[in-house]
Amino acid sequence: MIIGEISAVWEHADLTERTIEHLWMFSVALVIAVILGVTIGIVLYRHRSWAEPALNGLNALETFPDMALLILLIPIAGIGEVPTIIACIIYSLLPITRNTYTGLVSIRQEIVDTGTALGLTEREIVRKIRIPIALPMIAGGIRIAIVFTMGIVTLGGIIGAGGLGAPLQTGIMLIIPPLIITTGLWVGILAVILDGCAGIVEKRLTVRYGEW
Amino acid sequence: MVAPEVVIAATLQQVVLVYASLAVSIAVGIPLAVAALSSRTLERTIITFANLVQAIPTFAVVAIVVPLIGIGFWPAIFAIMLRALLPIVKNTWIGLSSVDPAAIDAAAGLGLTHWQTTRYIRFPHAYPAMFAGIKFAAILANSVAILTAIIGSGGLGTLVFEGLAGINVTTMLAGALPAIGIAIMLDVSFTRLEHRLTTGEQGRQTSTTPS
Amino acid sequence: MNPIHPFENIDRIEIRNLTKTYGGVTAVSDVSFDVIGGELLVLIGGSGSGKTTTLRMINRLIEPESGSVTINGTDTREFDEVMLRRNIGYVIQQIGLFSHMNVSDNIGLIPKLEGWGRERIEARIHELLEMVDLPPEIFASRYPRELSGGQQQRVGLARALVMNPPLFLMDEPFGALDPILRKQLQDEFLTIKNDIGRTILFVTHDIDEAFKLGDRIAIMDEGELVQVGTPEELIFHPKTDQVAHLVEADRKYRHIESFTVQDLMTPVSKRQFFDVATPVSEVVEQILSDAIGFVIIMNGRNVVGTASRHEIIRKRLQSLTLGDITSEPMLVSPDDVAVPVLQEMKRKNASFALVVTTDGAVSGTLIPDSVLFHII
Repeated sequence: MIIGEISAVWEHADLTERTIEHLWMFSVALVIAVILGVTIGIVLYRHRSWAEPALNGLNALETFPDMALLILLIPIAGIGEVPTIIACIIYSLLPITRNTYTGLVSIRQEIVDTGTALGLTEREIVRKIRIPIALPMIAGGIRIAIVFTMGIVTLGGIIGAGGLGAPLQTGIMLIIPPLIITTGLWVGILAVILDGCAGIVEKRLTVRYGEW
Repeated sequence: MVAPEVVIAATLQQVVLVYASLAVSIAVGIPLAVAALSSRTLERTIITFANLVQAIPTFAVVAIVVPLIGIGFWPAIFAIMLRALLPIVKNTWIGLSSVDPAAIDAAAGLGLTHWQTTRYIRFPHAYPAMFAGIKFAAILANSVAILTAIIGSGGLGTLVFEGLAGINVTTMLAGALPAIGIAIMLDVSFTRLEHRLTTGEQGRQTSTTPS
Repeated sequence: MNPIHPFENIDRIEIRNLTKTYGGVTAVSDVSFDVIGGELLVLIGGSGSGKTTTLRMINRLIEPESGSVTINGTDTREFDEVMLRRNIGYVIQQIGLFSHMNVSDNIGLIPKLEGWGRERIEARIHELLEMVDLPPEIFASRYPRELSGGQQQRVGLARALVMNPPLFLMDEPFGALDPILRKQLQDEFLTIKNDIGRTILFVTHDIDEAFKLGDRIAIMDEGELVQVGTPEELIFHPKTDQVAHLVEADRKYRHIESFTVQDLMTPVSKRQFFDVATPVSEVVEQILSDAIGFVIIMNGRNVVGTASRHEIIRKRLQSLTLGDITSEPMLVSPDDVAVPVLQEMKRKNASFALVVTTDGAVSGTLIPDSVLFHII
């Protein structure tokens, strides 16, 4: 009976389409954020002096309320998916960059020394030793970014980006409890599953590369 | 253009929302953390539940409150509290439970009751972590408080949503910018408070990493 | 019984049939022994022997499954456990100082909770810091992380002493320190042990420490009590091969500092005793036939002195009584510690010493050559 109600709501609000929109925005934002974040993290590792100011700057951005950041982007990027994805990337940068940087920097010196003694070049040490050992930490940062991104994509529904935030907003404004509950629980389940998967990957990497 | 009085009024409402929900979160969160100390199962339940809720998008949390509790100021406080609880509970619990086990054993052997140990040994040890959690929760509360305008809480979110409805960038920014200002103010003032409290106590270790 | 101080002084602690299992593993199995008031009893064993578990059952940090601990006739379960612990000093290996409190607050916490006035607390803290050789003016406001391991352990001791408990439980208190520091603290502990005058139960895995500090030693293995007794009892009468091996009974010379004169003396035979008035010529035959090395000359019940065989034979033809050839040997008591006595004998070039009890009776002689055979 409940299933009937749920599927009625689902169809009425086009939740399948909303879900696809939602996950599409999520994926695009996450992929860009990971590539950017890891790259910046490596750059900061190479140029240590930039690290503190850069990380402090990102940290300051992190205190901005996500909704406020979205609004700030509207004059620049309009409404809809674009500012949403940009906001996701901005928020995801700190955890990914910080964790990448910390992961690369904090490896025990003995391990690096062993690599040098074996005759590896600086670049090979980064590729073969630092990055693998930093992977668990990077995975941890990505996990945090996943949670942030899911949240902001949901917010995007308010500024016309579609996704599951839109039916949520409709449900609230028009006070349609079944819509709110169905969409709310659904996006919650999605988020928990994604976070959980990231957690499993993190754990596996920790077991495999073990420093953390 | 937005009248200044409107912005000021909304800002004040925002601040009230933040501090009220923070107070409620502390009042609920710290006892929960203490309770998690006394039993393994309780600890696991509380921490797992808190972790779970944290992954759920804020907007969903705010939305679900409506069919459950309703709309207005207090439902908004409840929604914000749900968000702000985790950093407080988790950080407080970590601070309380990470005391050197030898110190706890020595305390028991000296003849301190369970409560005396919690109060005189665990809590002082937990203050830095607890404070970091509260600071993080405050900034989180400010973020959520913007959203709760959609369920009738008042605050700077009202201006944001108004602006969105009419696609009026000025109005939107009149809501968003002060909100960012409050966030920065919260960060700075809590950090300063943190420094004063911890350097007042002869160089104990400070931790400002959020949960 | 004063509810605040249930026992002012320990007369006796009776530990009966203590048993504790964890999961399927028996940590302590039917352990019974007595602790005599005022003594330092060492509980020794390897890891897993149950010694720490037994200790912690006395202040009820662990509750036994069966068995009882009775202090001065009262079962410890009749006391409120918090009050019991306030009357028992407890010192552990990792010390467990409260890192957010300075030395003064660490020591003063319990008195504060007991409602002492501030001046009284400060006075007591000063007194204790002096006792453990940490000048209060320097150390009272220091934090644990500013202290070395040895200093931390001293603060831990002071903290445990603050309420003047008549009973002390110590769980490998010097275990976390380096060997040189450990020896130093053991020596210091020996001197204050008698000042403290308390009953102490001391857990260790180090047999040398046990012999150094203990009045009596209880040996545990795999949860069971193997033997309990004075160091000499364990060395000379080990119950099992394991005990003998542990105390290295076959190398008694390792423990020579523990020995008293009584342990190393040779008993005297009745045939060595003669009255002072006996003529020397009469004595000669007897000592020749029995190959006695010296005679003990008595006047009634009092010891006058001794005469060596050599003397007696040389002077047999002169008309002398024993009284005329008496020489006074070194006199020692059976309870004297052996090593200093032997050192004095060496200094005085005495070939033997006469062991005399407090009521004047001769119980034996201390002969250096025989001592050697006693301790191998």
